[in-house]
Parts: sequence; C-alpha cells; structure tokens
Amino acid sequence: MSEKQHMDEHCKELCNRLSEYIDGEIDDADCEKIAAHLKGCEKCITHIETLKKTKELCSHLKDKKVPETLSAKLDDFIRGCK
Amino acid sequence: MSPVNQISSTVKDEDYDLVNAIKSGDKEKFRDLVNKYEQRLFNFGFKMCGNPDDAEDLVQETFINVFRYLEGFRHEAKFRNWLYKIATSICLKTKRKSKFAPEQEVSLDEYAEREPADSSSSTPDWAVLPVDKVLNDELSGVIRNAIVTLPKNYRLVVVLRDMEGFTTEETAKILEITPANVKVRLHRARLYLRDQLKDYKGEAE
Repeated sequence: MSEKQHMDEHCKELCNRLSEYIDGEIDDADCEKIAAHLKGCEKCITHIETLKKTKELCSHLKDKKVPETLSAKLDDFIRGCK
Repeated sequence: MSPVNQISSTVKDEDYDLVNAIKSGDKEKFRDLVNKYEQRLFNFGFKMCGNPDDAEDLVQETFINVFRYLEGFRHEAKFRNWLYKIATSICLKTKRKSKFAPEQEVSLDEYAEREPADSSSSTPDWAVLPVDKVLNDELSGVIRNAIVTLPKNYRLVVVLRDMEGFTTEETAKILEITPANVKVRLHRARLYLRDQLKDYKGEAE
C-alpha cells in the first residue's frame, strides 16, 4: 500500500468518528490520535470545520413563533379538561 | 421478582412538583405545563414536519396524550424526556410527508464509509464566519429544507441531539435504540446536511 493510499484509509477511518470527536464522546487515546492526525491533514481539517459549523448552525436556528390558532386550540382543550 | 428489582429510581426534575400537582387534581396547573412547553414542541414539530399546520397537529396531539396518560407517569425519567417520547412516537406514526420531502426518500448509505472530500476547494464562508454573521433567513431556510429531506429516523436523531439538546443516552431512550445507533445516525445526518450546505454562497449579514 502506497503512503497516499495509507493516508486515505486513515482519513476514512477517522472521518467516521469525527462527530463523536466533536461531541467529546470519544476516549482519550482516540481523541489524541485524531488531534495528532488533524495537525497534519488539511483535508480532514476542512472536513471537521464544516461538520462542526453544520452542528452549530443547526443548534442556532431561530424559533418560530407559536401561531395564535394553536394557542387558541390549546386553550379550548385545557378548558375542556376540567 | 425480588424487592430490589421492583425499586425504580425517581427522577426529581424541575417539573416534578408541577406534574404531581396536576396528578393530585389541580388541573389548572396543566395550563402551566402547556405554556412551558408549547413553544419548544411547536418548533420541534416544525423542524420535523416542515410546515406549521402539521406542527400544530403534533403539538395538540402530544398534549392530548400527555393529559390522558399523565396519571401513569411515574417519574422514571425526566418529564421533558417523556413528553418528547410521546411527540416522537406521534411523528413516527404520521404518514403524511412534508411538501419539501423528495418523492423517494434519500438514502444515507453512501455516508457509511465516507472519506473527507478533497481540500482543493477552500472552506466555504458559511463554515468560517461566526454563526450570527452567516445564519440569516436564507441560510436558515436552506437548513430547514435539508432537514425535512432526511429520512425520518435520521431526522429525529439530529433534531433531538443538535436542536433540542438531548444527550446521546437520552435520545437513545426516547427513540428506543442503542446509543451506538444514535451516534451512527447523527454522524450520517450531519454529513448529509453539511453536503446540502456545501454550495451555499449567500451573502453574510
């Protein structure tokens, strides 16, 4: 296996664990392994940055206001519960 | 069964007293419960269904079921987790599709063994700029539309984990799947959403 092929296999293996890495759900040994790899692999750095930002954007989506129609329906329901 | 096996721990969460008051007959307190969760549940429904009408139906049906089954709730989990378990089970039963959903459900199998893309293209602006500079209405719309095109079992995981803030363990319990399964689905869903954003070139605010 060439060095490039070896690197690609390594990237692929690490790539599958990047969400766990971002979420801090990975053990220390694997965490160090990924951190070391990220120091020297631009492809994986771009990959992890875009993945992290995707997570961040999802968590910051603005809330939609509850429609008045729903609040009125829930009010009716609560009144009927008594 | 031994007495030890019969003991289940009681979770005294922030809703413990409120729930017990309702169970003891103070039905007026049910309004407090609804007021507390209607906004969050509506937004959960909106992300899951992609439109306000279906989200409204989801919230209504969830509260109807909460009222019906609250008597049997034994505080074995946080109330919030139980509430979302009800909401997700309604979501899973709903056959109606979002108008944004593709005719044929997308497959996330290709994300099983994903190699990072070539770095010849530079990191896009949306991934470099701070969230408050980039997350405008246009990008929010792109993300929301991408979420509803996810298969439902992936959509539920990414919404519960990344948007509603449940942990891996909590999500696993809500969906009755293993934590490992949550992690796999979450990773594939994030990769899919990331790919849908890949070519976004909107103006930063």
